[in-house]
Amino acid sequence: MIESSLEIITAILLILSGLATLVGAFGVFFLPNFFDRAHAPALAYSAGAWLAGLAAITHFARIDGYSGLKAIFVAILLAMAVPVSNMMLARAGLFRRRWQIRRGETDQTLGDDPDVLGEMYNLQGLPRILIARSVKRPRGDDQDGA
Amino acid sequence: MSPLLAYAIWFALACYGLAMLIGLARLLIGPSAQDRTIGVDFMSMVGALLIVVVSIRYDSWMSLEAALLVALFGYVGVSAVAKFLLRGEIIE
Repeated sequence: MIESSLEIITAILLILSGLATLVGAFGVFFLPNFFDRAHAPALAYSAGAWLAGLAAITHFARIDGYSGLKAIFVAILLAMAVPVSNMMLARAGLFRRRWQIRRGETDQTLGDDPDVLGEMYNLQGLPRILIARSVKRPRGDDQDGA
Repeated sequence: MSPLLAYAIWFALACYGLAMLIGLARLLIGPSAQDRTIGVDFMSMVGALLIVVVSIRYDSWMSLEAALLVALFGYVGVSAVAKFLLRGEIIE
């Protein structure tokens, strides 16, 4: 009875872990620009890793005691390492974006054109002032003196 | 191993495989270098999770250390690439 319920718990944890990782992967693929895509895999690194670690713990608790406890080290390592590398990657992306602006290039997916940004996020009903413009347009590109 | 657990393991492995394929697609089509780096990061970390589930499948805790190593090398590689993109050199 206990053994079969442990198996059911392991199966549920594995299925939830797979679904969380898949949602993170869809976010990595379908979000429109780099600064949105940098957020998406956190779902896989937190929920996916912790649920897989808990599944390994319950499974090895069923077959041979404590030896599965080291599966949680994977989740702990991800929780320590991923914010550091992701932060460095976001800083690199911001740095390269600033050089892109300085060269005078525009990126439609990053809100250089508020109409395109509103269309992309499905925000057409909102007034334009509510659509965030994270980066100003490069100087010399404005015709209206803004 | 009950059939429910076997099917759950196959489902989790299929989800991880599909997630790694999507990360590979982001690696191939990513418009900038940092997008490709996100793809590599995602693939290595999901590879670590996949090794955890494979260790459940084969009832052996030996490969959990392999999962740790895969995650650690993924972190080191991605932070090296991010440092290179930020500064132009890795060790200064």
